[in-house]
Amino acid sequence: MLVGKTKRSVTRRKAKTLILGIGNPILGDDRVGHLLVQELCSYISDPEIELKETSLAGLNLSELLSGFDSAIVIDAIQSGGAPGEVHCLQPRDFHIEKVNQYDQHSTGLLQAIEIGKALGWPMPENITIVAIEAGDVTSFSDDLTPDVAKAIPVALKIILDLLGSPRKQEVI
Amino acid sequence: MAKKITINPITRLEGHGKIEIFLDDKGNVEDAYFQVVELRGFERFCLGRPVEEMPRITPNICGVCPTPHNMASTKAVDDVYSVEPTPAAKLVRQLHYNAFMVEDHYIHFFFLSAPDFVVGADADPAVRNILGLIDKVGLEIGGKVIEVRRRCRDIIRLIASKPPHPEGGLPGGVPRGITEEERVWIKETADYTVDFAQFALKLFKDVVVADKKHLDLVLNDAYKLNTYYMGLVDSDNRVNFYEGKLRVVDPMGKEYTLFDPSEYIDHIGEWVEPWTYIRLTHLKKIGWNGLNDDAGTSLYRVGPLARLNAADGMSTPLAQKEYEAMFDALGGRPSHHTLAFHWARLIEALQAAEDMQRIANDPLLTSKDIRNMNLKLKQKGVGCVEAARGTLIHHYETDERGLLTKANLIVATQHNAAPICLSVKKAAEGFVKGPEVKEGMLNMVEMAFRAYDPCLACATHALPGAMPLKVTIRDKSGAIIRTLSRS
Repeated sequence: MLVGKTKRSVTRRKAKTLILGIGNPILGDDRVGHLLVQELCSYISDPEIELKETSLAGLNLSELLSGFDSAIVIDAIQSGGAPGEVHCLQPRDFHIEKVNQYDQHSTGLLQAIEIGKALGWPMPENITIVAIEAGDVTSFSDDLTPDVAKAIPVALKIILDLLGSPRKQEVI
Repeated sequence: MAKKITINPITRLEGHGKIEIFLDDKGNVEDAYFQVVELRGFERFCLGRPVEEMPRITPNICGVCPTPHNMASTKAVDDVYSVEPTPAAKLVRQLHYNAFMVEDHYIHFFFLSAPDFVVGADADPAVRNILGLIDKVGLEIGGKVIEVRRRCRDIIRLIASKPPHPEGGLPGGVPRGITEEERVWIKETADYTVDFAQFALKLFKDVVVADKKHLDLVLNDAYKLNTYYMGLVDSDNRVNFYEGKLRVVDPMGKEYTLFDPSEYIDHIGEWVEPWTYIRLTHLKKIGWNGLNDDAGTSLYRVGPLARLNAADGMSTPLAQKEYEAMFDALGGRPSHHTLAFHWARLIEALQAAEDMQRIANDPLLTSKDIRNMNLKLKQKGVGCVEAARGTLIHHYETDERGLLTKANLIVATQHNAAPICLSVKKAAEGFVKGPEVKEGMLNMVEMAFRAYDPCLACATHALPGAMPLKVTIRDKSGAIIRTLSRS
């Protein structure tokens, strides 16, 4: 007999919007999501907006997203565009094929949302994905490649425009 | 016409890992290789940094198994500074580590393995996943998995600030101790986890062991590999995740060698092949004898089943009973049945849960003596733990200021890389027949791969989400003649 009561681990949160920077912080351009969230901290003071960085995979992503009304996810992407190109996307823009296993290693953002819903968690209704085309994501490094570094202010402005909330300062 | 089948099961960084199966002119399997894309410059990234930064850096190598890197790194830094953690600090570390083993083993089992058995290995791939599993067993069991994981992560969060990427890791100790109030809820979690671990094992035995079709699959020769096995053991040769000596048993189960992890270079050889970036490990004193499990093999395996094979028993009573039951059912120790990794995984989770109980009941846990500051830089250190996926070794060297001059890591997937190739080849030989490669056949091959839960040190989180599995069939010239996908 199991002791204790099973309870849902994820509940509604105070903040309504999550800004989530995803990436491996020591793998070159893959850290661009982290850097953008760090930059955003200087511009956003709205208590209804929560900023987070993560390098998590799998079910962790479902947990991070749950409980928010909306989310802006910032990540590096390699979709064939020029490094530094910034895309503003919706989940429906991705052609996601059903995989045979939702496993730790291959659970991406959209699968994470689906899993969260299946578990009965409150997942964000509106998700926007700000994706920056990466140059190098296979070399361990603290630095972005030059083209991706140049994309930081561009992506920053896009995210702040998406939020439309009062800013502490303007993007330079 | 000879063909090449490529199974590419990895996420966004396409090509990070793939399996290639080569068919001969008759459509039978000729060879199989497990390949990864090289992540460059890790050692260069680390060189010149203070060695005590490594426990914070190394968990970022992987989005899936960061705690073992944190712990192996912390132990290597202990060794670099010639310091042992205080008894209380060691308990806190072991508590942290057991909590991770529990959550990682269950995520693997319920997300990765259980769909094959509960939903069915030949079921429609659209439902052969965690969602299909929840449909089959009910949301309540899914909720229990999430709950046990949440509770274990609360322990990790308490000790290491944030799961799963731990912060901290101090030579000679831990950054914080445990209060009596915390000990009380940790004990509740340990009790809950032991109950859940027994429930999970009962589920496995009901669904897999009691079902002839499933048990036959586990015992199928296509999933059998006669190798050596390696794992950490305590002084009584029982399974230990955190410390001990590395014991290797031969394919008959006889002890081949027992050594301190710091001597790994004398025992573990690394072999370079042109078709992979992974340096293929093998038993150095036997020498590289290629990818085979013949009598002269020098290949060994690590991970849950390997640990149980390499040990004389478990270190906790309930897990010991399960250990005996498993080997009885599998025909004795060692067991060479790769799919039994799943069973062993659940037995290990039970040991980890019982050990959490032991620690939670130890009055020493709340001691404030959590740091040994008697540090003496000796400029070289090796740390070793049993990661969920197998033995993990960190080896650092520094200059006289403690700045890194060398960093070498041997991860579980490296130990298992050559056996994974062989397992995939055997499974492909057993299940892939003729030119028509069907979905069900490929899943049977992937099951051999998945049993190891290989971890490719890659960023696994990212956009646009999971890559679908792709099978590319090529002719001898390399031209694609057919592509299968799992849409």
